[in-house]
Amino acid sequence: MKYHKRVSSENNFEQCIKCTICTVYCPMLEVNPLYPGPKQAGPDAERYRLKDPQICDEALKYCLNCKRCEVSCPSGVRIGDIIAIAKAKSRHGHSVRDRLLSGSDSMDGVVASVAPALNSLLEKKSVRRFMDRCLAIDERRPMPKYASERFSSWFRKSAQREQEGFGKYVTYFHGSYVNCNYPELGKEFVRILNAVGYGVRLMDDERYCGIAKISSGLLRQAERDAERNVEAIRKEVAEGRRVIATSPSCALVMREEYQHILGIDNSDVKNYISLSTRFLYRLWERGEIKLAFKEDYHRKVAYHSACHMEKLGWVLYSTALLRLVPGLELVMLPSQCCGMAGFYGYKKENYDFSQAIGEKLFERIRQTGVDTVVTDCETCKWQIEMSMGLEVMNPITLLAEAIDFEKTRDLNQNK
Amino acid sequence: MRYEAIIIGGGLGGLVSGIRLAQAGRRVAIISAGKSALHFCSGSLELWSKWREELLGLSESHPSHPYNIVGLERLERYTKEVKEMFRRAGMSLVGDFEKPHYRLTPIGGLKPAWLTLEEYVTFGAKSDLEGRRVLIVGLEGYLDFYPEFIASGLGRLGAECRVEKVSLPELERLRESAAEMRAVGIARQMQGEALERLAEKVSGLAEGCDLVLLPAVFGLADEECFRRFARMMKPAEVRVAPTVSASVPGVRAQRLLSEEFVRLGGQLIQGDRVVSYQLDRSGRIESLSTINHADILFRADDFILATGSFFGRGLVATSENIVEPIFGLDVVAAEAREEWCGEKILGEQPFQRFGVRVDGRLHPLKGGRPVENLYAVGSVLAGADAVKEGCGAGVVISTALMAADEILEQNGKRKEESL
Repeated sequence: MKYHKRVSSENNFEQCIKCTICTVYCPMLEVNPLYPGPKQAGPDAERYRLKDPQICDEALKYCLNCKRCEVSCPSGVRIGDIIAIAKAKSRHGHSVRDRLLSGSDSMDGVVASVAPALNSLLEKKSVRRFMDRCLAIDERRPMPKYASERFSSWFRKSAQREQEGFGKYVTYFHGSYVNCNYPELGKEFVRILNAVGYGVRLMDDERYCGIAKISSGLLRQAERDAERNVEAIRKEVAEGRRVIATSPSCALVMREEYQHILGIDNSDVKNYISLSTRFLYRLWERGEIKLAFKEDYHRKVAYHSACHMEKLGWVLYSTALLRLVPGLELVMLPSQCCGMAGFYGYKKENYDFSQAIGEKLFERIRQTGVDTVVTDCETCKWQIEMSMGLEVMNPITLLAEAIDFEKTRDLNQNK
Repeated sequence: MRYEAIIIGGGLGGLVSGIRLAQAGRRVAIISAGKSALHFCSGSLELWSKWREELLGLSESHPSHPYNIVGLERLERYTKEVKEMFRRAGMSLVGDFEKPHYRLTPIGGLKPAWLTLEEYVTFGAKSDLEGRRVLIVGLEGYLDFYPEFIASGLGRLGAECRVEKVSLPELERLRESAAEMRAVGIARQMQGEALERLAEKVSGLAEGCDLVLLPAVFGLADEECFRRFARMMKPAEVRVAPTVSASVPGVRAQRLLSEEFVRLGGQLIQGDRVVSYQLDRSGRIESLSTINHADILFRADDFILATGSFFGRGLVATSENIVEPIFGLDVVAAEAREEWCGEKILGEQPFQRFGVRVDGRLHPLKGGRPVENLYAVGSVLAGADAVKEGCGAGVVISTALMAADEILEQNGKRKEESL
């Protein structure tokens, strides 16, 4: 194995044997012939980029960072990472839009304090048209709603005290989505964890996970956040707590991309970063927690496997957990990209591709005849809700709806 | 995660044994690191490149060939069973064990095959080509299909061949990125009006021909695509010929077999890699760990190693030796590196026969002793030269089904004992 170490580059592009399998599974290539495809944009072009880092290919911007190329690659080449790094390096200066969409921790408090006004402002046609023309944020795409109280504020104010006295604890990485847009998901997570006997803590100084910055090429900013997060995670792990996210993209970026794209060594804590459904299912399977469900619960849902869930390989935990719910009829959708890819689908130049990719998934959802879709990813949720007008739930939300909390608390003797 | 059987490898071998076990009601998982060599599928499942007589004498001519472990009787039975398995998954194969046919190669050669996907052209005998009037249709801008080579190959056997090229407006868009105009991209366009237009154009050219050949670019998502096209194409018989990879029918086969496995209750875990294993006190394999699942182990009673050879990384060539990377199993391989390859690229290549050593029940050996609850199947096995012998799919399917049967039989026995 010594030999391999000597000849392998960081993102192992030379392992590519040009089999072209990745091009079969690239959702962008399917709708956009101008995209050279993962093989050419990734390992093929990397040879030239090694010779001359200035060689940049405009078409790299089309990559969704869905990582389906990596999941399909028989040779284990990190095609998506190669493209992400090349994309970031090839850009000079970043537009105001990309910075805005990538968010900033320091602005979150301000945003929350003006949330109702901001939400109604962002709904106005004239504002959306302005953002479309001046910021290239597509006017057809509604902006996510901001919550007037951030999850972290709610937690410190209303939930932290109740977390005392548990025998076991986890640390919750809420991410910017739960914090700013959808605190309910975080509240449901805390409620379930408490019911099965776990107290919840937050990291001292949680920063954005960085996925939006990475995909906009703002690597330096992403790196700063990532370093602070890894430090904070290390502290939690040292105190014996796992760090659990409800967003698969947060989990993926912290486990994989911190190391592969930002070059931050997280190998000592990587495997302590997990996802809510994986954490819960593992405990349930080992018999360490018990779940009791409402007797009269009934719902029919279709499960959509988000790209980053596929990359994590953790779809089986979410679906296994959902299958525990009596009265839940679960239809598995074929695994395909919804086209949204985080804030990718907000950008004006991507909107049409985003919808063309999504249409294939929407068609399959229509065929199932369900009115509710379950998916772990928040931006898949935005995409399916906007494009189809269906209700889209996180598995945690569905569990919170189906669990009989009183019985579950009794079964787990939680404090 | 607990299963009754876990299969490492999601290619033809892994899927075939997975389907067999799932069908018997077993809780099975397949752990697959990337998509498989099915994507290079020629359209045919080969058993042996020479005729059956040679296959009958195999135990003497090739004593260490995996077919000798399976035995001809089972090989024949499995050929029939796999045909049925493919049919249930939505693919129809022609041919049988008794009577091989010829398939066409992408450069116009004929090779014997036993089972071929229905849409591909096959010939009962080389003499069938004499006097056949064949139209070979290429697509403008598509470089992975060689009508002239096919025409010259079939021409040598007495066929009268004509080559035509057609273009379709739907394909013009693909040409914007010339290097990415591949079979799969074309296949995505082959629906609705494009399909009708193609049928109309080709029908117009087919006058006086009794066989029309097109590249295999039909039916990526829709299994009925080629049949629909063929019905529109009157009156000539129409068939496809293989293209350079990725093969559209191969992609379809991977999908349909995977879906069949999942439909039967199997758990398909993709894009992950087994990195280590744990033994119980009696030396049986107890569980596997993978990159994605890390400290959550995959436990099972039985395991099947269907990781393929060098392409699938079932075998890895280091600078010093050839290794089986997951379990460190005993490998049959030439020790000296210079003996791995033959000098002529198209001649015998010794590395083709390298692989893991197994006992008569497909248990691989480690340190000279069989690993009791592990079975090795397919091209990770030593002894076969898939290229020279044309036995790739045959070895994969027969050993995959045999391993599944062994597991079912052993489980049955264990259950009887415990009663």
